[in-house]
Amino acid sequence: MTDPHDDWSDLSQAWTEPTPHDAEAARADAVFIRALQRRDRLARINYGLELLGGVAVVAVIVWVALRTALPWPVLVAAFGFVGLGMGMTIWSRRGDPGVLTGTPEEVLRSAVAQARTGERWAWAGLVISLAAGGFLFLMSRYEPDGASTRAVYPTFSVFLLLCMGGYLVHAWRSGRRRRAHEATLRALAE
Amino acid sequence: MGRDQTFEALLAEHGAMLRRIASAYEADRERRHELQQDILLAVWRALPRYRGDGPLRGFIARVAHNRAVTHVAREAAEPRRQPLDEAAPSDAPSPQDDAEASDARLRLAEAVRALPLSLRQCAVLTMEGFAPAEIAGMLGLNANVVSIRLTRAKAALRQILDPEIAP
Repeated sequence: MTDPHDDWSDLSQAWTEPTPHDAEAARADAVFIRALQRRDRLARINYGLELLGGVAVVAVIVWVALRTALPWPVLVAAFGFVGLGMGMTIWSRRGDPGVLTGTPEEVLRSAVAQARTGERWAWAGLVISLAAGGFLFLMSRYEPDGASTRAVYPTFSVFLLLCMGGYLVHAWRSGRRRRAHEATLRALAE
Repeated sequence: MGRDQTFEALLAEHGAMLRRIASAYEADRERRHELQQDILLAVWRALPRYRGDGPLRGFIARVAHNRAVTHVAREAAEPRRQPLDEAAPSDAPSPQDDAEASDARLRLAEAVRALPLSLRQCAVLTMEGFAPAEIAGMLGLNANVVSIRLTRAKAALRQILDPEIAP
């Protein structure tokens, strides 16, 4: 005879009983599916575009260098900037756990790693923005006729400042999320 | 069949279970929708890792639970907005004729959410029809530990729900 303390049939029946909202929820799930598929594709496209953008900039620099007598400090700064940008893009994606097929403890460790990836992405963006600021400053020094591009440098400077603000906020939020998961992990281990 | 079609077919069969798992971890309707979406994303991303070395239902339940655990961790560390139990009644716009059944389900869901995390996982998986040995595999625990937790979970639920649902 089943021990009543081990018999979960009544609770199981109550728990799994269909609800009048199931059909509505299934429709909402379909919306969720499309949204998550879109998010996943956008993330992949974004990553690809960041890398392709770096390759395109290298091609433009080479093309310009072959056609004009580009000052060597500018050339070095340009290649340095592109290299840094692409390196940071790859580095920021490193360690994304992606799937949750382990035990809860493993999953929490993955969540910590994921938050750390977010932090890295933000810090990478901040470093790239700072480097871009330096590059912009260098370009302004070597600009033969400042009048033609006078508005460009302040505009880009403002844009970079906005980017840096966004990256700082993201880094702060990712850091908060990472610390939260680390605290829970410690609590589970106690 | 493509990955997207496979996922949609899977969801048609197991979507209700995923929603119930989300309801065991989050009372607030909006946050529960967020959690459901995150669970769907987690299952979708995990699906290519499924090698058929066990029931698919168990695989997606494990992924769903794991995503829910990270949600609980985040909420516990950084509580937002109102307490969970105050949010529970907002989820009850059910018709008059099934009001009693809905009330029972809501009370059960509320009682499940009141369980400590370690007991809650075992209780929910048991109510979803998984055997203790399967649960042990999912949670990385010894089967005896699962049995002990189930006994404690049952006692806790009985204390909360008595005498309406629990025997």
